[in-house]
Amino acid sequence: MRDILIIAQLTWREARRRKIMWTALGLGLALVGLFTLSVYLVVRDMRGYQDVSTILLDSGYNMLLMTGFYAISFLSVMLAVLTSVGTLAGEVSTHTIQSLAVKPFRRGVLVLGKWLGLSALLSCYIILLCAGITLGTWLITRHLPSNLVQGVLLICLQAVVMITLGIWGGARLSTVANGVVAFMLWGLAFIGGWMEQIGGAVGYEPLVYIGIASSLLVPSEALWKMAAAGMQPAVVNSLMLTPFSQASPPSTAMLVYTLIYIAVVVGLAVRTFARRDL
Amino acid sequence: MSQSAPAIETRDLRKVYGTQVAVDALTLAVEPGEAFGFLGPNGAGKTTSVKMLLGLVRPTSGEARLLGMPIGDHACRQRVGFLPEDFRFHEWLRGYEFLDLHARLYHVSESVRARRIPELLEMVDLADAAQQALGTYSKGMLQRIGLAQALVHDPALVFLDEPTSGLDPLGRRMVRDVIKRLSERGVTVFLNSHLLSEVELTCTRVAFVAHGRVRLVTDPRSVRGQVVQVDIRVGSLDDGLLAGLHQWSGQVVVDAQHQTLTLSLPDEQALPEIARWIVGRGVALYQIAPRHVSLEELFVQVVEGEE
Repeated sequence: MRDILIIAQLTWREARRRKIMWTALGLGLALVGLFTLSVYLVVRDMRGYQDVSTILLDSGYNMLLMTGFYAISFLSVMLAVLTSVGTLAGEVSTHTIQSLAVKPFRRGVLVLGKWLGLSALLSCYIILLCAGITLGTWLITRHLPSNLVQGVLLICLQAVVMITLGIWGGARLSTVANGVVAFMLWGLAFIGGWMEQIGGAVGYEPLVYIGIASSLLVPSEALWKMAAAGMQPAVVNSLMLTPFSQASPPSTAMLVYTLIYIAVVVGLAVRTFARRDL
Repeated sequence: MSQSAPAIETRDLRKVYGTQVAVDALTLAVEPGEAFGFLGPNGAGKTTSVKMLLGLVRPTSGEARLLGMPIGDHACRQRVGFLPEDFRFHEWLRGYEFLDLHARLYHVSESVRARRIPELLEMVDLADAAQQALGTYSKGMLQRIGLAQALVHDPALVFLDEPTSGLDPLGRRMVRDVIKRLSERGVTVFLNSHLLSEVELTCTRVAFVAHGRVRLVTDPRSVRGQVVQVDIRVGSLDDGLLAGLHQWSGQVVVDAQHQTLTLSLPDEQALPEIARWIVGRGVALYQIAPRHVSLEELFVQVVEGEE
């Protein structure tokens, strides 16, 4: 465990030294600022309409905030793939890994350390961004979404799913090939998710099955759906009032499946990397 | 681990990539405290052999033990150091941090790290660059800090893969001195190299490797002083002559066109007897000329003789 933590700390130090951390924090701050400004302008405009009901106003604020969460969810997937695909593959191709892989521990320590370090790093970043836009929106509208903590954690888990896939791929593939595979898998889940949404809305079951199958293959989109469903008012979900509405969100079983999925894929990454010639 | 166990022991270690045999039946025994040279041309399978011994590459077949323990055993790895041929490290780490990281991964205690790392930085002449990022280091500096990394946990066995490839003459001398000091302390050094002079100056034994096989294991110092090559020119060559000469030398190279033979002998003592024997067979003897061979000649002979 101590060795895993040393490797995990190394990923944090790398992010700091390579200026990834400060750049990401600076740009994240810009994102939060821009989002808050946009909310302010929209809300100022909305308040001009006197006859709008409180429920509708609240739903409007919620939709604005959900747009922000959606952007963060999308960004977190991109960041998860970009940071994870090269973390093993890059060190294998430059031979940097050799001096680490001869140390007195299993090779899996390198995999688990990198997985833990990146997952923790990206989760902290997602939590900061989500806290930023939630706070900005709250200051202007006094609106707080329901199940906020659960929603943010699900967005973090979505990033962890992509990091896990990126690390597994990197245990075998080159950085570029791994990046292509990871993005395509995410794209598959993304399209599948929309197919399921459309299938559900028009009552066409085969589309729903396609969606479920894609969620089983890569559960990232399903996690976003769970997050979105939880953070929106029930009426918005059931009437499908926004693009983020979920008439039939994934169940808790999907969450359990995802946790098992992550454990299995991490196990596969450890196994694949242990068998590889370096 | 038993004290008498060889530092390195391999039996028929083999690595095949697809149809290409990288290492073919490597059988070796390196004694504790030896400075052992592993010498061969590029592509001979030296690095693959080292990688198999370190558990970086899985052997296709065969067995190996380091310090009496199976390769890959954590207790074994704890006592083995390695300077890779491609000395690429995390370039965003500073020199001191780099050594500290590797020492921590070898589970070296904080107090020992605080004492040992400055000593090592001093030894590889990088004390002034300790707080610089590795990204700013020259090739030679990286190789030197890589050497310090290989020694940071005070190992009993060190693998150095082409340790002077990026070094200037002063750096090379420093590596030679380090190897000498390690040997004096009883540390086993396995030196992978294609530089004969380097091996000749530092190693107590050397294995010549070509096409994935060990062709000869010898003492480089004895080669320099003792191995004699004898060029013999005769009136006619026949099978009986060749077969007869094998009683003195296992290595008889024939140049039929010029009616000459070359024998390798441990010394000059047998020369009069060989001359008498040839003449006694009724063969005209025009020349029998001894010359001392260098390690380089022996190496070329061994490698080319197998081609």
